[in-house]
Amino acid sequence: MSSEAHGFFDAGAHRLFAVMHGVESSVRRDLGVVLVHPFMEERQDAYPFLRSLSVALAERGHPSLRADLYGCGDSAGEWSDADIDGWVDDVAHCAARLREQAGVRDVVLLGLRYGASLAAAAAARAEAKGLALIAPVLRGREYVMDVLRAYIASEMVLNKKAGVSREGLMSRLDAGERVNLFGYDFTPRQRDGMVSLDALGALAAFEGPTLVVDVARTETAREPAEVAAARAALGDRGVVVRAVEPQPLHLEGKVHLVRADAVRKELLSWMEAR
Amino acid sequence: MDGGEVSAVEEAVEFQNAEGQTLRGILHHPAVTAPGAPAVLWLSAGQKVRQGAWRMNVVIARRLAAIGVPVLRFDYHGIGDSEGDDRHGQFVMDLYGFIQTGGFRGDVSAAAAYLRSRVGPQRLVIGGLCGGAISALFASSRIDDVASLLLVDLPVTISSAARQRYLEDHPEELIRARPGEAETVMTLYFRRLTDPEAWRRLLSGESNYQLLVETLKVRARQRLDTVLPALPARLRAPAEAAIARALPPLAVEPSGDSGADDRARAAGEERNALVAEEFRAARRRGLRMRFLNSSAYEPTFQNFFGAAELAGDPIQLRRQGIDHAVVPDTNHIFSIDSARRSLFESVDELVREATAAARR
Repeated sequence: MSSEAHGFFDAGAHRLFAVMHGVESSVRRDLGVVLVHPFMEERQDAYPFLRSLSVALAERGHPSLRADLYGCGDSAGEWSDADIDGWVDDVAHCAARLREQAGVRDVVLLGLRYGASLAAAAAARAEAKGLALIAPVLRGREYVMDVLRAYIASEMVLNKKAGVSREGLMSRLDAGERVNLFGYDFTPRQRDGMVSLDALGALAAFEGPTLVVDVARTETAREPAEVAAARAALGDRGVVVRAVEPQPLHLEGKVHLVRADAVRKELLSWMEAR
Repeated sequence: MDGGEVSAVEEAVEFQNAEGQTLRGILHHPAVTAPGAPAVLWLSAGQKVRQGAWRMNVVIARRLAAIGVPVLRFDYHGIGDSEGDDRHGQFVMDLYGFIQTGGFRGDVSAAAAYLRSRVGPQRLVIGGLCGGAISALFASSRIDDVASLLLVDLPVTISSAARQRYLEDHPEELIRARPGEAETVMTLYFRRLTDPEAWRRLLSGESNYQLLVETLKVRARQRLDTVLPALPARLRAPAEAAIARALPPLAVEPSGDSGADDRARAAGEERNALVAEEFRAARRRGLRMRFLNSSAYEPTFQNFFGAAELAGDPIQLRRQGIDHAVVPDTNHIFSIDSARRSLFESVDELVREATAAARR
């Protein structure tokens, strides 16, 4: 079993909780990975997958760091005080921390869902040598609308009626109000940050090796718009692969144990080639 | 106060359960422990890691630490960052069954011992939502000097994984078992009419519209059931026979709270006798217990547990240290603003009670 160390570290003005894997047992230490989690309940539901990925990377000799960004998980701060630029900064702090603690020369940023946007946006600041984007969300405006849609659907199931529309929620944000989405106070500042973050532009500008993993339920499923957008931003650079998984990695599914063998295999083989 | 204030110290900790597995969590140390304050063991629901839905466990722990109360929250074995077999069965329902039969009681006992070893011998308030509540109840007989239990949406049924799996694979049967849900399903489908991607999936054959077809049949049958009784008896039977093949009769879904019983059974739920046994034992010990339920869960709670176990005069029950409250208009995770406040107030109240008792 790979070694792991749990604790807090200073990231600028606040403390982040992080788990570092493979610092003691690693065979090779030239390439480490910072894992960037998705947001709100997706972070919770993706936890087993990201943890299993860290263990697998450590077993192959790649130290990794999984941190909770500001206002998330066990880290300092309230969710509602967090903003996008601060999260991008946190990712850069994580990369520095991994270099310092694990002695790795190069760092790959790995982002799941909206974590992929942050990884792409932080690549330059973090001096990343590679990007691995899994089931990426790279278009902020569409993501915000998707989150609002999911929220409204859940409200309908609970209350048997649509109490509010997406337009209504957007109007409240426009008016400077917070909107309680699944218990998270989503703020106008977060919405604006997500909408204005040019993750695709950052991806296009990134010159290092890039892996995009399209997680699909079937081999023949249509390529999602997010992956198509990533492919277009990358041009002839980067690798786009499909990994077939029985259920999404970021949602509560009926299968308890999410091993994500296909995703892991694609990632490890891409890492081996680095 | 909200969950962001970190005037207290938060420490990443680890300890062993009886099997030697390392359990990991966060210990919230107050800057100054309030005189007489209990320590709080706040338990996670099981499938979710130690922060809980919408980070509720973090918010609760920070609120308490800010008023001088130490709190431990941690991941059970095989969950989150803790060691152990991460299977607990292959399916989520298997994990639920494991929790519902006390699978994490040993971890809770180990956590209680660890918490006392770190913060002192004060009494413990133990609580949690759902799987946290049931783990608290199961473990309470093994832990000395428990001041009170806060049992939030305590699961009172036991999951049948096989039935649940079958219904998940055959959603059309689920809708037949719960015809009251047909309205919601239809509304969701109507919303999709404006979604080009939904049309593309339909036309390309990627969508599984079996659920929609079954829902339409359920709706049609519901309408027919309002018409058929108006027919003369001599016509009613042949009409029923003629349409029964295409639109079979619906499961009876009683209106009001009593329907929860049937709905839960249709979803593969059965009364968990172990919960009643543990509750009665705790009651005999005179343990202070508060049941706090969401309005969404209350009908199930009443049908499978409350109506039988909490029957009688509430004042009499309260004298025995047992009370029961329902938070209106909320979901199982208490994510709505007013529900969050009710949850926090309930935690605060039990802590105040324990503090006052210790000072007496």
